Amino acid sequence: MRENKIVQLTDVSKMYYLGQMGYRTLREDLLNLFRGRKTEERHFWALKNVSFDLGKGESVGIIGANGAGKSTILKILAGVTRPTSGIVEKRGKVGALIELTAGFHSELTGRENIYLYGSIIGLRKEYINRLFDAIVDFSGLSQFLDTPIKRYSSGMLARLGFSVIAHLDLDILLIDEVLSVGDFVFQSKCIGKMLEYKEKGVSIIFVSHNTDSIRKLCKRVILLGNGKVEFDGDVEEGINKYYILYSRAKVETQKSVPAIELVKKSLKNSLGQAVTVVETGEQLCLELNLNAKSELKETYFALFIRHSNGMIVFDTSSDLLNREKYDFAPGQLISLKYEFSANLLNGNYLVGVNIAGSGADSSPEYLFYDNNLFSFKVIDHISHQGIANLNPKCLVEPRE
Amino acid sequence: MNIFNYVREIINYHELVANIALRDIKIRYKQSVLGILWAILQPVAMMVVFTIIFSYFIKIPSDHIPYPIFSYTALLPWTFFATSLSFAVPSIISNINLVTKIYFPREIFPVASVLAALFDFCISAIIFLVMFCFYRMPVTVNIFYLMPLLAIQVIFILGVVLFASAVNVYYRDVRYVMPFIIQLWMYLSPVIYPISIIPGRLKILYMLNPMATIIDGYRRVLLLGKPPDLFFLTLAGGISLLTFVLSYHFFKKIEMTFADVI
Repeated sequence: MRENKIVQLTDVSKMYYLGQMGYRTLREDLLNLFRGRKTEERHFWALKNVSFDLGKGESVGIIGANGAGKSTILKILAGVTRPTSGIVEKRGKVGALIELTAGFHSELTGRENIYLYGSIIGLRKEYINRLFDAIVDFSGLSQFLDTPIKRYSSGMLARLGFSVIAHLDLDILLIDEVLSVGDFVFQSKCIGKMLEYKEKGVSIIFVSHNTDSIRKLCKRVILLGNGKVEFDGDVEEGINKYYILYSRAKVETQKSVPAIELVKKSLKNSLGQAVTVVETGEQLCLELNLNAKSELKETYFALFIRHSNGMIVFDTSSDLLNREKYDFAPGQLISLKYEFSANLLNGNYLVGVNIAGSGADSSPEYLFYDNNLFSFKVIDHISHQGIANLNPKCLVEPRE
Repeated sequence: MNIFNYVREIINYHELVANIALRDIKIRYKQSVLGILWAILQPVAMMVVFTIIFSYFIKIPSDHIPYPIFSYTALLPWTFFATSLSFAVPSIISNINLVTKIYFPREIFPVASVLAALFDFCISAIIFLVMFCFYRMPVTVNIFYLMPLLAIQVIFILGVVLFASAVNVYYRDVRYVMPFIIQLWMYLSPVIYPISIIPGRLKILYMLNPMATIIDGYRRVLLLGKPPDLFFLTLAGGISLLTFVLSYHFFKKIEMTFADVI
C-alpha cells in the first residue's frame, strides 16, 4: 500500500453461492448426499475486480442502485466477510456507523444502551464514563436517559446512536445510510460532526442514496453498477452518471415493443444552439420527433425537470397546458415542442418526458418514458441558495 | 492462530462479553412480574415434582440422602447446562443485525449466553445453601473440589455450545432438535437417580458423558463429604478439554462465513 493511503482495495471480488445465501436445512443436504449430487452451485458476483484507494482524511461517497454491491464493500471493509479474491489493506482503526439501532436492545434504557452500544463498537467502559456527559449532551436526550428505548421515537433512537458513534476515536469511518432518520436539525448536526471528523484527518466512506448528504461530505464519489466500479471521481459528475444509469435501467424494464419511437431529439436555447450549460433564466426549447407505432388515443405529453439529487423541480403536461388530448394513426410522425425558462439555480438538471394515452379499457397507459433525455447545468452568477430562481429584487433606502 | 490466541482475543473483549451477558440477563427478567425469581423457580419446581414422584410414588434410591437435596444438587448444574444450551445455540442468529454489520469475535455471543446462565446458576445456588443448612449437611475439606468441577463443567458447556451454535447458523434444524437432545441427555445423566444404579459393565460407557461425572461429583463433594472419583474426573476433564479445543477450532474456521450464510 502506498505511503499516503489508508485504505486500498486491489481487484476485490466477492462471490456468493445462491444456495448459500440463506441457511440450509439438514434434510435437503442429506437428500442430496443420498442422491450423490451436490447442491446446485448457482452463484453470482456481488463485486467484480473492484479497486480503489483512499487517502488519509479523504472522504468518498459510494452510490449505486440496490444490489450494486455497496453493502458488500462495507462488509468487507468492516471485516465482517472476506472477499473471494483480491487484496484489502487497511491502516488504522476502522469504525462502522451501522444501522444505528442494530446494537440496541429495546427493553434497556437509554443509559444502558449507551454502554452496550459503545462496547459493541469498541469503546472501553472507562472511555465511555469519561465521555458520558458529552454523549448525552450531544443527543439532547438527558431527560429520557432512564426510559427503556422502546418508548423512544425512531428519531430519538438515531440521535442516541449517532451520539455514541460521534465520540469514537478512529482512523476510518464507515457510514451506512443512517442519516435518513432524525429530524432536520439533528441531520445537520450529524453532518457537522462528520465534517469535524474529516478535519481531524479521519477518512470516511459514506454509502447513501441521499446524494445531497453525499455532496455535503464528499468531493469524490464511486459509482457502483452490478458489482463493478462504473465511475470514480468528481462528485457532481458521478451523481449525474448515477441518474443516467438508473434511468436506463428503468427504460429497459419497459415493454419490449414501444408504442412510440423516438426519432430525433434536441435541447436548444433561444438562438437555436444545442446546449448543455445554460444561464439561469434562459429560454430553452425541447424538441422531439416521434413516430407512432400503433394507433394512439387521447395521448398527452408530460415534461419533467429533475434536480440531480432526484427531486422533481417541475412537472407539467400537455393536457394541463392545452386542455386537449391527441389521437394519432399508426405510422403518424409527431413533432413535440416544449418551451420553458430555466428559472433554476446552480446545479445539474435532467429533462424527462413521459407520454401516456388511453389503453384498451380507457385506463391510462404509459407509452414512452425517459427521465434523462437531456441533462444540463445551470449557472447562476449570483450564487443564490436553493433550486428556483424567483428573480428577486431588493430595495433598501433610508427613510425620513 | 492457535487456541491460546483465541482465548487471549476473547479476554481482550471482556467488556463486550460482560455487556452482552448483562443485556441477556436484564432483558430476560425485565417486564416479568417474578423477575429474577424465575431463575430459582425452574429448578425448585423440578425438585418438588421429582421429590413427589420419585421418592413417594416410585421409590428411587438416593444413597440415603433426603431426596429433595439429592435431586436439587443435580438439578443445579443440570439447569446451568440446559439453560446455556437453549440460549447459546440460537445466539448468533438472533444477533443477525450485528453479525452482518460489525466485526468482533463471534464466539462472544455463545460465551455471553453461558455467562448469563452461570448467573442464574449462582442465584439458584442460594436455595441450595438454605437446604444445605436445613439438612445439616457436613462441610469437609473436599468442598474445594467444587472449583475443578465447575471449571470442567464450564469448559464442557463452552465446547458444546461453540459447536452447536456454529452449526445452527448453517442448519436451523439444530435449534429445533435441541430441546429433544437436552431431554434425552438428562435421562442419560444422574439427575433423577444415583450413579450407583448403573451396572458395572456399563459404567465406563456411561461416564464418557462428562455431565455424569460432574453431577456425581457435586453430590459426592457436597452431600457425602467425599472427593469425586479422580479417575472419572480426569476422564471428564480430558473429554471436556478436547471438546472445547475441537469445537473452538471448528467455530473459528467457519466464523467468517457467518455473515454470508446467516
